[in-house]
Amino acid sequence: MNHNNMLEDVADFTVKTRSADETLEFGRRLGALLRPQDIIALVGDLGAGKTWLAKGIAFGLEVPGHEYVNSPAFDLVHEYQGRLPVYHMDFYRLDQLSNEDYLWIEEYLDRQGVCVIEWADKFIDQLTKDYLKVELRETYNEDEREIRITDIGGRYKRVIEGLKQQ
Amino acid sequence: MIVLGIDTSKETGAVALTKDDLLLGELALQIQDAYLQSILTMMDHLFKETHLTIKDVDLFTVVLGPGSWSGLRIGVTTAKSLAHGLNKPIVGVSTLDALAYNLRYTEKLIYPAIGAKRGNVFFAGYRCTGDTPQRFTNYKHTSVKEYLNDLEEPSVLLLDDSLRHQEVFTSRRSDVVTIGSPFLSQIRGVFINEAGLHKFVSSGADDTLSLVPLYLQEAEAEAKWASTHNR
Repeated sequence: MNHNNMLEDVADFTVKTRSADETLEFGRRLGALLRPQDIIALVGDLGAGKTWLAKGIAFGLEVPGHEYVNSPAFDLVHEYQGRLPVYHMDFYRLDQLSNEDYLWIEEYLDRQGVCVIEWADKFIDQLTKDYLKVELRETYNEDEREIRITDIGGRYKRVIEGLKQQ
Repeated sequence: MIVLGIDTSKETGAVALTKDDLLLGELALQIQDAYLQSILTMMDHLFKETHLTIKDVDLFTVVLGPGSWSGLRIGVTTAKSLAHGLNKPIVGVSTLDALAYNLRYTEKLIYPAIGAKRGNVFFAGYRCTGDTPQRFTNYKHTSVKEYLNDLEEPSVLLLDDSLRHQEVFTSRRSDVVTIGSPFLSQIRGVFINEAGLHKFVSSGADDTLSLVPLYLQEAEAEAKWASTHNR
């Protein structure tokens, strides 16, 4: 695992959200900027708000509000239909990628939807060279989160620009 | 004997209902990823139009792969659940075998091929001089280069969507290498049934509970296929 390396990357965009609602809203803005085959790698400790941010991204992709977006840690992947299909995955439960894991994950990465992957840093570098890394960190203020966004591979300049403009 | 065939191995979804030598009905859809949701609706529609029910089915046939991971999981699980619940036999058919049924009564060798990851292909070679295609190679998972090197001529290549327009294939076209029509390169529901029925008559049903999709790569796929199909 190269978690340490990841932290050394210089984030392209950093924002602080002061409440769960603001984190959700930030996810919504991010989701609105996404296109088919975009890959969002969510990185952060337990309780950092990865699932909550994924929910915001799903709403930004126009997944209907009545859909209950929750953690796919057990099922590995949940699918939602919004403006684009949303494939919400979670690598938490995987210790390593088996041959079969490569097959199903790569198939999702190839489909015409958006992949949002929790605990992505465990394996993402074995799967693709292009992804948008979104790191969540708790700060000393309760409910406040620092969100660092890094364009890995160069595909996501438009998303970074979009976030900066808002 | 009433046979229901199911294919969800690729972007296509197909179902077919046959009774002995009669094709009662067949449906095929090519909508990206949508077959995953529509396969049961397609079956239901076929039963309604033919005034039959799922309980009239005597044999289930299903395409085992190679193909899409999600598609195969859904197709094989659907067919197994129905066969198990209704206590009827099931037979799995290789995607490549089913495709070989599309062309017969020809001296040309038939090479169906399906695009795999990282520029590789799944393929096998068949002699199709009679009613039943005879596979004369192993099921292979190789680079495109090896596939083209392995070809014996004269032959017809049945290439899926991901391969058909690649220059490496089209430049190989010649007097002795034909690239088959796109519509002959898609799985036809009725031929899942014909292939499955042939296998059922010659070697019996597969074990319902242990039948699995054939999506694993290369060595594992070969070993698994050999161990479960006694070939």
